[in-house]
Amino acid sequence: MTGPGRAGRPSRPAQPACAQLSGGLLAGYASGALDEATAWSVEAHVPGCAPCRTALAARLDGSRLERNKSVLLTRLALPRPGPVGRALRWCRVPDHVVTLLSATPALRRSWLAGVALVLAAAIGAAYLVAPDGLAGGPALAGPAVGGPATSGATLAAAAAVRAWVALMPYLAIAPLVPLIAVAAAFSARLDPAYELALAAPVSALWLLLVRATAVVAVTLVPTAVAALALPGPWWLASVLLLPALAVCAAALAAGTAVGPVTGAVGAGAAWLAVVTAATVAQRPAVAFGPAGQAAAAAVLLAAAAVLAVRRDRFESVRTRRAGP
Amino acid sequence: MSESVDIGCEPVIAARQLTRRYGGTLALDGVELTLGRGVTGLLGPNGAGKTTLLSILATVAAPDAGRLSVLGQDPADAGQRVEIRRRLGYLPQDLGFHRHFTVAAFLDYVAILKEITDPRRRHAEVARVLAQLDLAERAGQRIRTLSGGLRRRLGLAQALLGQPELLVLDEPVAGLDVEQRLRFRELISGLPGDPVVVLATHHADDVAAICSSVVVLLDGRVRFSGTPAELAGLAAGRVWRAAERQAGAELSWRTGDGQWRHIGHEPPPGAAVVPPTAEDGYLLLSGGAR
Repeated sequence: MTGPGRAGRPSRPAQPACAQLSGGLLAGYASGALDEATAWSVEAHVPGCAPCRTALAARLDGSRLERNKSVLLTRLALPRPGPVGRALRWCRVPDHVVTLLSATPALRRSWLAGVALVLAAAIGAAYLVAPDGLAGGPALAGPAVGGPATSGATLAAAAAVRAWVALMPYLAIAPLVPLIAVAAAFSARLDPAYELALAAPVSALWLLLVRATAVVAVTLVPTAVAALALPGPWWLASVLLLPALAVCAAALAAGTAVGPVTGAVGAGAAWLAVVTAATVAQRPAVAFGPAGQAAAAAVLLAAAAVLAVRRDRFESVRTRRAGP
Repeated sequence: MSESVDIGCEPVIAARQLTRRYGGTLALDGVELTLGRGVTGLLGPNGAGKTTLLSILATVAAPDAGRLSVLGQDPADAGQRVEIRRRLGYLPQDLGFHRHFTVAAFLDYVAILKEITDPRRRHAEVARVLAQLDLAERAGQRIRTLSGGLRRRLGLAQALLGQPELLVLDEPVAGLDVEQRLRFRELISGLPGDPVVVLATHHADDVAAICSSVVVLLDGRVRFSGTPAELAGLAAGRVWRAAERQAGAELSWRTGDGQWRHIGHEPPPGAAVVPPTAEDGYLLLSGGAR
């Protein structure tokens, strides 16, 4: 190993310890002047190199060497981040935040695989309803269909409704995917170390928002990709963004009163009720059109306000214990 | 015996009329408590309110009524609550683990929760508590493969991260074998910085061994607060030995040497009275010797 890193200012001329590590690096390490990455490199090299150990021992007392060794062993025992963790680091998310997110169930591979299965089922359902594709495609402002199909306009509207109905399993489920992930990210039942997080100085609301943002971002990616595989227009995923955020925010806001799981169940049920009612009324586009987007934005803002006002509710035990 | 005894010269925890209810169950019923520095043992039967009291001291739960001061801060105030948490180490009774974590990864995670975000400092702190709890060789082991005793030690390790000034430990020796319990005593006695320790336990002998003060909680109320010697003193003259089992005793058992040890309110005339232990005092107080 050569020493490209910052070597600090050794107090005395340093002798090379071995071919891989310069004496300057050892001196810098001993004085604590090395940057994080270079110090790591030195610590990774020294345990396996007798000349360097000897050279370092002359500069450090035995207890510090032993301490450094135990720190190195601790670092080696830390697992390497998975694909999601690596992606987050690539996005410049700080190391400690990535570690905090490692306890989030919805960011694990098994969870993401489950999401992929659900979305695949929704895509399959769309192709079952419309095996030949969606002629004309869905329109966001499509009129309600009523009466016998006697005119060309009515036929076009009927085709649009049929297109929406074919896409409805996906459209109904897609906002629920991040919703379930958010509920799981901060549920006392699903977070075994929940009490430790509460007793820690890290703000529970900050932790909640970090986890929620991460799981929403990560689960929306496969959801958007799935939209491209649907027999619908390419912009389909974009109409889901606001409803998905609104449902998640509403769940968190309701969670301040009834807990995150109950809040998520309530928000999910409300979303399914809206979508079902719109479909039954043969106006399925309502939930995703301009009116639906405006309503979702209003819900999102209202939920954010509730969260800001009731943020203290996340700072102590929400669920009642069975007994003392 | 009193419901409110000033144990130390500088109160670290002061509770006034703390009340907590779970549905129809009154878990804490007007608890009055003043604790100073040192190690305080919390004794009481199951359901006495120990866990509720400790979770309130750890700021995890809030009382329904009453006032509380911890380390001079008011947990009801958001800013002061954070200040308490910065100086707190907490071991819950039922500590859950992310089972896919390794031992080191779990401690790393908790250290971040405790705002130790600098990697070098954090890893050094994790290494320190691993060594302190003799877990260094298991740093890379997954938590799901650990025994119950090892998990309890890991729970203790996370509580010690950051060298807290106040340690709130709910049944820290539950599941530990005899040697580990003795090592726990050694650990608590040798903690650097002389932190304040409040621990709940069912082992009166642990309290007598390491605690400078003891609080007995019964039915959500403080029934005794004093030193372990004072708790033992409650049974003075009420513990005796005899060759036979005696009907007047409220609790009797045969010891290893074949003699019967009796606890009761009125030893018979001429009985061989023996020095009581803190456990005897607790038994008489709690009604276990009835």
